[in-house]
Amino acid sequence: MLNYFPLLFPDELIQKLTSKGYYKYYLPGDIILTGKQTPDLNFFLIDGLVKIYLEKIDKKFFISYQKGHDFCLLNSSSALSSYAENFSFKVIHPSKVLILSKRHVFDYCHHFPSFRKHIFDCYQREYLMIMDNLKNKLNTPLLNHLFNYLKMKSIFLNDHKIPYSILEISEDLQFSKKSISKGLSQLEQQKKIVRNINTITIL
Amino acid sequence: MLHPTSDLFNHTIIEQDFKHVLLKYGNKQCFTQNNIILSPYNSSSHIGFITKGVIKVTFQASEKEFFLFYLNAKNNFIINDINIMLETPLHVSYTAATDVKIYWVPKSLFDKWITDFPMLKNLCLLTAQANLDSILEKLASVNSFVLKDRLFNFLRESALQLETDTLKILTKTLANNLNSSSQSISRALNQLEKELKIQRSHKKITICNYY
Repeated sequence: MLNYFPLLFPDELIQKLTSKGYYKYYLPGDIILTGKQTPDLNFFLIDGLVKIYLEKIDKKFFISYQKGHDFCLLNSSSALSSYAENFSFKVIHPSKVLILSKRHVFDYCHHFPSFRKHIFDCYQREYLMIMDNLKNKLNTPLLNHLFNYLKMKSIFLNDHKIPYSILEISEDLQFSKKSISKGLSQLEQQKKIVRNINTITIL
Repeated sequence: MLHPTSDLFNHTIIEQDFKHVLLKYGNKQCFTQNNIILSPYNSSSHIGFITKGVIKVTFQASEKEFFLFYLNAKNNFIINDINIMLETPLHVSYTAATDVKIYWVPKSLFDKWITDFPMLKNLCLLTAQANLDSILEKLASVNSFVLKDRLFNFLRESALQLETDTLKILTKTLANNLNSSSQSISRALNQLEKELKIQRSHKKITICNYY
């Protein structure tokens, strides 16, 4: 159990985390947390894979994936506040999460510098991920955006051959199904991908 | 000398002791309108407290300065609040939107103050959260809103921050801040004028029903 935690965490902290928190298991398709909720809880992803969406203006925007390693705090931007959650997390691979109240997280941040640093690192990662996403949206034409999206999926699924659905890509990238279909054909012509019935192979 | 009636010092929840240490240890710097305060290439190891004026925060994208949010001396007065927590520099620029006065303190000292003044810690978290929220709003609106609506939101936000119904702003600046072209901005401004949301005169835009 202890190997889930960063090496710098002292034993006393690990004992507190495991005694005050509780574990929950999620299956593919489950939603760990949805936007607009104001949970009093923090969610640390220990194992598995989730897809992160930003929920704003009554819409869902795909942001990235998160793998369950490094004891990653999922809702780090609202970890220490009572703000409504901005993100939702959809489970892709079976996932294990340690759930801990914000009060305890706040308390441990105060008493354990290594824990405070870890929370700030998670926050930093989330911030950089958002800025990267914004940069992509502002800079990148659809074709590159689409290819980057497929590459990212392939990296997180750890496979060159990835399952795909035009509807899912169109919802994630906020482009019409027609544009996505055209984009995939162009990528195929450029020999960057090969399409099969339900899968795409990244070359 | 810091003016005792400046906005930050009227903030009721800031502890008196903090005001004294800021006066004692802060390095005062003044900027005139349009001066660049911080660019991605000269990121600071200091935290700034705005005691006068408004700062525009932009993000570099495809050689443009995409608008993110404003900081001001009234309620969102900590500069570099992102970097309080981050070690990796972001490509964010801070430009004076009006004349600005800032007190800078080294990050090391700031870390100590965070412990000494609990209200300061809360304000930092709130400011960081509010700024992150603005960024997320922009990220969502890039895809969801048509240019005309993004432009009107930007004009309204600028007018509110600068406390004026009339903005002196170039089409080129608007194109830069909204990641668009001058032609598209001109078309969107014409539409907004037809809808009676703005009025234009020589290089000036007046927001209708501002009050």
